[in-house]
Amino acid sequence: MSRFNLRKSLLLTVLGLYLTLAVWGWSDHFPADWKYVRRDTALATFYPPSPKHILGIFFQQDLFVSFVRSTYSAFVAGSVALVSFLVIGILLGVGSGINIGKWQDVLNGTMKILNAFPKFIVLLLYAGLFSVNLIHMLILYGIISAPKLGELLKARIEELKREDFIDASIALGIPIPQIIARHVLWHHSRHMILSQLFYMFAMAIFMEASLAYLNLGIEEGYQSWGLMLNYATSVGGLTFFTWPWNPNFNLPAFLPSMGLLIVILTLFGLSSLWAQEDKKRRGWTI
Amino acid sequence: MKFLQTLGLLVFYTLLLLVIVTSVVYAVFLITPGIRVELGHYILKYYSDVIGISATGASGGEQLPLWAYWKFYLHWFLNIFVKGDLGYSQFDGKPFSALLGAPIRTTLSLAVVSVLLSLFFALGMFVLQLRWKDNPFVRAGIGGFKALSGLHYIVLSYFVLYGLNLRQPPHWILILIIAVGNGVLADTYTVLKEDFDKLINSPFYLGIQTRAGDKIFHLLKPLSLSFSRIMYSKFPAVLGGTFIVEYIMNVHALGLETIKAVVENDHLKMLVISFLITILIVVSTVLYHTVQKYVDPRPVKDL
Repeated sequence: MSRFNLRKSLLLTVLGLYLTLAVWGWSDHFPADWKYVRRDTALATFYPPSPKHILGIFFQQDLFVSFVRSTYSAFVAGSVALVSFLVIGILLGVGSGINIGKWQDVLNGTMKILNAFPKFIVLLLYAGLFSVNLIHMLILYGIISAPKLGELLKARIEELKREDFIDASIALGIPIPQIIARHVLWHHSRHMILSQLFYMFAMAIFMEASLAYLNLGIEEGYQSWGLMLNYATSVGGLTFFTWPWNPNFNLPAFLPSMGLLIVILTLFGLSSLWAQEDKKRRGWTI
Repeated sequence: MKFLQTLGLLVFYTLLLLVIVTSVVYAVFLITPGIRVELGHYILKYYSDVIGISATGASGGEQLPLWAYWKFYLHWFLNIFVKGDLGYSQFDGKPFSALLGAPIRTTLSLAVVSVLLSLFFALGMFVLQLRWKDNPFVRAGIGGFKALSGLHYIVLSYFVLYGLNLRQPPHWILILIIAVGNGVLADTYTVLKEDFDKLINSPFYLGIQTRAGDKIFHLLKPLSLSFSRIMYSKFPAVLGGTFIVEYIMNVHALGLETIKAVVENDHLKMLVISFLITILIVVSTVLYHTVQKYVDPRPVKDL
């Protein structure tokens, strides 16, 4: 097995594990003992692992249950941002790449303006203006990140316009939307689009964690790695700098940190693999 | 003469953009009933003489007429350019002019130096990868940096606050966090590599190889164009990251002020921050285009 395929299999396995955890979080199917936490446990105190709570209790929640539910939140966050990113990105890319008169200039201008604004700051102001929930903010995040995909698609369309097979397709009477959908988007851009989707998924998870950490747009009972980090870093007496079996080890912060790190690196890795695949198909030396 | 003409156009477009951004944000305030009432109280408290309605004449929860809000907006906008007065906080009544000093300076210095550092690190990693592609130590080192880059700003800040026990860390540590964390370094490296791959697969590079030209000399210009493009495209993301780190580390700067404005429902402060951010974006865009024009004076036409 080549190094490339080995890397691909490893990353896809981790992604599979992550998706399994997300489905588990969505189903919310946990043993009753795990879910049940006595109400008289102190809020800002970490209770070390026990047979009933394998990773301990923190903020009156079983840490493992919180972690799995947060996996689902991260997945939802990534998915909603991904849908708006994909739809708007393709519209912007195709619209600015093909000749549609004045609309082409409008779309090019829109991409430039959207690209220039800092996304996190736009989301902060949006949260301040509308007091909306996190999902709305992530949809907006997908929209304002879409110009990146748009620009890449536009460049690809410009490149393919000069190819003979496009002229031949037009001469054969194949409708333009079909040429764009099948020949440009599917045959020549799908690896690049997939690479961008993985990258966007990772960035949306980062953004969800940041917004949840700041307590913006979340409702009571919402579980998130960002929120777990918020709780864990606001409690004194716990530290990363000791052995994991030490009762003072900050497991409540370590778990979401590792969750974020592993998922983000996996998604970055997959994005880079598909980018390499795209380059190979174009005959580039890499 | 041409320079003056360009400058005039630039000022005109900047003003237009500022009017569009701030008036849209302000209009959103006005269509939200709760914010509109709060804003009415604020206008009556500080600017009753401007709108010509006395604070005693208006009843508590009543909204002001729409024209009064827009008269205040016009006054606020013009006052920025005439007197340099940005207004007062709705939350604590402090003047916003204070934002123009240390806060904006700190945020800008953090963001700009972080972008430069991120590019510097990415370039170093790239050169190492190019020179010793199959060396296991180099591969591990690059992999390690990429892994470090996958850490969220919150985690990196936590290490500094509780691991190094630095409650008020020096700015170079903040810069390191912003330049590396949240995938900034990994993405800068990827974009840099992408640009380089594109370049060495271009007919331009094939031409250099065919006539045995000096590769470094010929690649310097396209690469500097690529650097400026990367810096320009990464600046907004890094600025957002700066805001998060400032908040976590409690650094008195624009980021902390913005998050406080959102939490404290200080809408006027949000308007002022939108104004300042728009100016930052315009300045970075102008700088980018100037550098591009200087490095590559060929006329570029959007296809």
